[in-house]
Amino acid sequence: MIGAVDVGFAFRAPQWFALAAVVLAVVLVRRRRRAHVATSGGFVFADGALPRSLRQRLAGLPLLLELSALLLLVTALARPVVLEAEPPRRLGLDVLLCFDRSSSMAEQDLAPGRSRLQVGKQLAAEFLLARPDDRLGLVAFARFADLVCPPTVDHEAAAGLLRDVALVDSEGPEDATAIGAAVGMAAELLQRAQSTGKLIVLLTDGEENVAVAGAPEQIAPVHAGQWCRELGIRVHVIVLGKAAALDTTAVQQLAALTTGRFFTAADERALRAVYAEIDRLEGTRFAEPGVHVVEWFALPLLLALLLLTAAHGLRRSPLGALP
Amino acid sequence: MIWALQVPGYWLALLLLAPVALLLGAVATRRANARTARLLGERGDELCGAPAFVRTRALAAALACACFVLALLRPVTPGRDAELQPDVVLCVDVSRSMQATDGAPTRFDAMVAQVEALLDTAVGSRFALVAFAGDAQLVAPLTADRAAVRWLLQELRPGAVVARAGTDLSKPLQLAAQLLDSAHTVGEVVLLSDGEEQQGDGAAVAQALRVAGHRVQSIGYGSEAGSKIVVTRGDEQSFLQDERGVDVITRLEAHGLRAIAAAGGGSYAHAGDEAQLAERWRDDWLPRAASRRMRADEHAVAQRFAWPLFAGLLLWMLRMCLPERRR
Repeated sequence: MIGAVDVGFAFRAPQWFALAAVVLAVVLVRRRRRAHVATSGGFVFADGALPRSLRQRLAGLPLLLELSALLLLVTALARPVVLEAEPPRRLGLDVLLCFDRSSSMAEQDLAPGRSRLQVGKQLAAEFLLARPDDRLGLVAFARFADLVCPPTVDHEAAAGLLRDVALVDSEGPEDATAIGAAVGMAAELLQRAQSTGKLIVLLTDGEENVAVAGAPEQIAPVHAGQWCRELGIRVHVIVLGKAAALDTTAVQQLAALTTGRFFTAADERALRAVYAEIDRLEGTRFAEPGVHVVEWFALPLLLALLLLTAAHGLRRSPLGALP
Repeated sequence: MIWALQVPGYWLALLLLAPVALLLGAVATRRANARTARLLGERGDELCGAPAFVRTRALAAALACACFVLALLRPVTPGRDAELQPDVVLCVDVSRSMQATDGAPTRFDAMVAQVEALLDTAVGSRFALVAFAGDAQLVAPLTADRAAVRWLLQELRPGAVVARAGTDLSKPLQLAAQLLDSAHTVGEVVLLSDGEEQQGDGAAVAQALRVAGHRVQSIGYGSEAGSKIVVTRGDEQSFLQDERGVDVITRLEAHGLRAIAAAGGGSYAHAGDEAQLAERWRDDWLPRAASRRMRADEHAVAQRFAWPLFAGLLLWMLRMCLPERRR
C-alpha cells in the first residue's frame, strides 16, 4: 500500500536480490580459474615461492571489483526508489447547467437595465470559472432542450458558449418551458460521465408547460427527477423572480427527489448568494494522497559500469595476473 | 507494443560512454597480450593455453554494455491506468461548396460519415469540434463525451452555422490553437475541407501550431474535376449560380491543404472510405500521443529498465564463465 506513511527509500522489486546467489556462484567459478602467476615488469614470480608482494596481493582486486559491480547491478534490478508524498489531487464534479431561455427571461427585475438572462449568464459564468476542477456542460432550453456545451474542463470555452445563449422569440413556436426535457438531456449527458460526483443546476423562471396533461410523450420534471435519482445525480433548482407567483411544486419535488436544494432568487444579490451556497454545498473533494516515485537505479548501474571498466583495466594492466 | 524512452539529460554522455569504454577495453587487452608475449615469448601458448572464445567474449561484453546503456535510457511502456489517447480538434468545413455532389452523396456527408466512424473508434480520446467557412465557430470544446460531439456534428449543415461565407483555413486553425492552449494540452488538429481557401494564410498558422507542439493533418474532399453545388429550396433542388447566372463549379484544392499539413508537421490525404480517420487515429495519432505522454508523465508509465539490465547482467556473467585460454 502506498500512503502517507510509505514515503522514503525503498526497493520496489526486492525479489531480484535472489539473483545475488547466482552472481556469487559465477564469481566462484571464475576465481577457481584464477592464475597462479602474476606479471610485474619483466619478472615472473612463482606463487608461494617468495613472500607475496603488494602487487601480488592486488592481483585479486579485479575480481573483487567485478563482484561488487555485479552486486550493484542486482541492486539496480531491485529498483531502489525514493517515495515522496504528493499533495492530494482535487476531484472535480461533472456539473451540467440547465439554462432557461424562454422569453420571460427578458424581464428586468433582477438588476436594473439587465434581463434575467443576462444576470443569470453572468453569475453562472462566474460560478463555473470559480470551480476549475469540475467538468462543466451547458443545456439551454425553452420548448426544446439544446446541448450548448458537452462536459469539458475548458471553462473559458464553456463560458464563451454560455455568453452566446440567446432568448427565443416571444410568442414564437419555441417559447415555452420544458424543464423535464432539459433535465432529461442533462441526465443523459451525465450518465456517460466517469466521475462519482454528478450535479445539475437548473435555472428557470417558469413552470413546466410542455409536459402537461395530454402530452404523455414529454418528460415531466418529476420523471426526470426519478431518473436522476437512479443515476445518482443531484439537482439543485434555482427559480428566478417572485416565486410566489409560480407553482413550484414540480421543481421542488425534483430537487427533493435527488437530495438537491430548492432556491429562489428575487434579485442579483440573492442569485449570487445562491451560487455561493451551491459552491459551498458542492465543495472540493480530494483523492487519496498520491506518491511521487523518484527512480534511483541509475546510480548503482553507473557505479557498476565504472567498476567493470576499472576491473577490466586492472586485469589488463601490469598488476593483472597472467592468463 | 507501445513503448518510449524517458531519456535522461545526460543521454549524450551515455551514448559516448559505451563505445569509449569498449575501445579502452580493446586497447588494454591488446597491450596486455603484447606484454604477455614479451614476457613468455613463444612459450606463451604452451604455458598459458591458446586464446579461446575471444570473439564471443568481446561480443558478450559489447552487447552487455549496449543493454546497460539502454537501461539507463529508461524504456517505459504504458501504465495500467494511463490515459495516453490523443486530444483531437476536428475542424469541419461547412461552406456551401461542401454541398457539392462529388462525395458520397455530398462532400459533407462523406466527411460526417468519416468523423462518426472516428468518434465510434477513438475510445479515451477527447475531441473538440470547430465549424468554419469564412469564419470559425466553436461547436464543442475539448470533451471526453464523444456521443455529445457526434450529436453536435449531426446538427451542422453546409451553409449554416457560420454566418460569413467563403473559406478561410487560418481561422479554424487559430481557434484550434486557442482550444488546445486553454486545455493545457498538445494534440492533433484535423482540417476536413475541400480546400478552397479564398482568404487567410493557413500555412503560417499551421507552422505556429507545429512550433507549439501540435500537429496539423488535412483531408481533402471532392475531386479536382469539380462538381456543381446543390441548393435545396423546399422540395426543389437546383444548382448554385454566380451573379452572371452561371452554375458554380467547385473543385478540390489539394495543393493548399497539402501545404498546410506540411507546415503543420502532419500529412495530407484525399478522402477515402469511412474508416480512414479511424485508421489514422489508431495507426498514427494514438502511438504518437502515447509515446509523447509516456516520455513526459511519470504516472502514466511502467518502468521497463529491468529487461535490458537483466539481459546485460546475464551476458556479463556468461562472459565471466567463458575461459580466456584453453589449457
